[in-house]
Amino acid sequence: MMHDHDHDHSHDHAHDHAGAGHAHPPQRDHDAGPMGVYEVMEEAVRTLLIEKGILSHAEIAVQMDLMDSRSAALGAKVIARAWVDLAFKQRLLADCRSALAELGIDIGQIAEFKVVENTPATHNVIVCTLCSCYPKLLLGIPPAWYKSLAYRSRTVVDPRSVLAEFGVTVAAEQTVRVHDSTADLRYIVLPMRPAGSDHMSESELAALVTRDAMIGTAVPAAVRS
Amino acid sequence: MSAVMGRYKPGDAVRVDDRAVAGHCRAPWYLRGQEGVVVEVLGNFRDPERLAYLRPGLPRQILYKVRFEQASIWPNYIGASSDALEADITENWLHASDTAKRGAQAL
Repeated sequence: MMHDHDHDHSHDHAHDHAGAGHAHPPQRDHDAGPMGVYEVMEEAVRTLLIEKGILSHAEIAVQMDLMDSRSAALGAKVIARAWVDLAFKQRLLADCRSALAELGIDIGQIAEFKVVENTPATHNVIVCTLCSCYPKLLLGIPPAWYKSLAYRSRTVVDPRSVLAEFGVTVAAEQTVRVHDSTADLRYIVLPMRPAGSDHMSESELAALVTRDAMIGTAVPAAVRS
Repeated sequence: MSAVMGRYKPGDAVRVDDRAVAGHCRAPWYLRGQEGVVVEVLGNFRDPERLAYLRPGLPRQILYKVRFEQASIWPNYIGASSDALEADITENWLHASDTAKRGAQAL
């Protein structure tokens, strides 16, 4: 999408080569070859924490399962509720923490959440230029491109071109509003309810809401009857 | 969150400080020295630039959602004149801006 080479590899490695047309060395699989410095460090710290009784293997496994279990389905459920319940939507926009609590979602103490609403006049898109802040609780593990240098830099400089590459065309008379998650808030986009969805139930509506629609790099497609 | 009272309120024109910082910093380089408008007071948070060094993050910082016009950040910006960028900036990075009139217009 943004580079001219295969980008299936993770973007957790240092990625300071902004030039086009370069070739990557082959990316090894995580379980092949010698461990990198961060893998060695992680294993050393984890082993020490377990040896000293601060953490257990079981607690780490539970946390990993919890992280893996999070997906955009939870965010989609929130969006669908906002589409069918105007009062809930207003509470969600005004005070995300307590609105999510109504749905049994505890966002914890690490960050606050904020929902920004797409309207016929304004399209919102989320980015984190400083690192890769992402509403994991509602959307799951972020896609590799969200963490890429290309997405993080180009979305603030030239959001309309980035959106076009994702297939989202924003009309000239509409406003594009980019949200750079620079601090303690995690953002998700409340997309517009698609045309043709009037007859659908809340759970059917939730199935229309994709991860990318909640990042702002997609819009839910109109429903054909 | 909105009950927090800081130095600035929604509608106020502000300018991001352009100091250079070595180490962890949450005011993006591309916004240093830029002028924007406060759209929301987000709350009172521990200072991430101190938390990053295992300090308690005190004094806490009022956090603002600040809206910048894209065309004022990027001289060659391609898009609508209403296109905007919003970032969350702590009070210790903000100054009152002289061009206060912009505030009312942008909101």
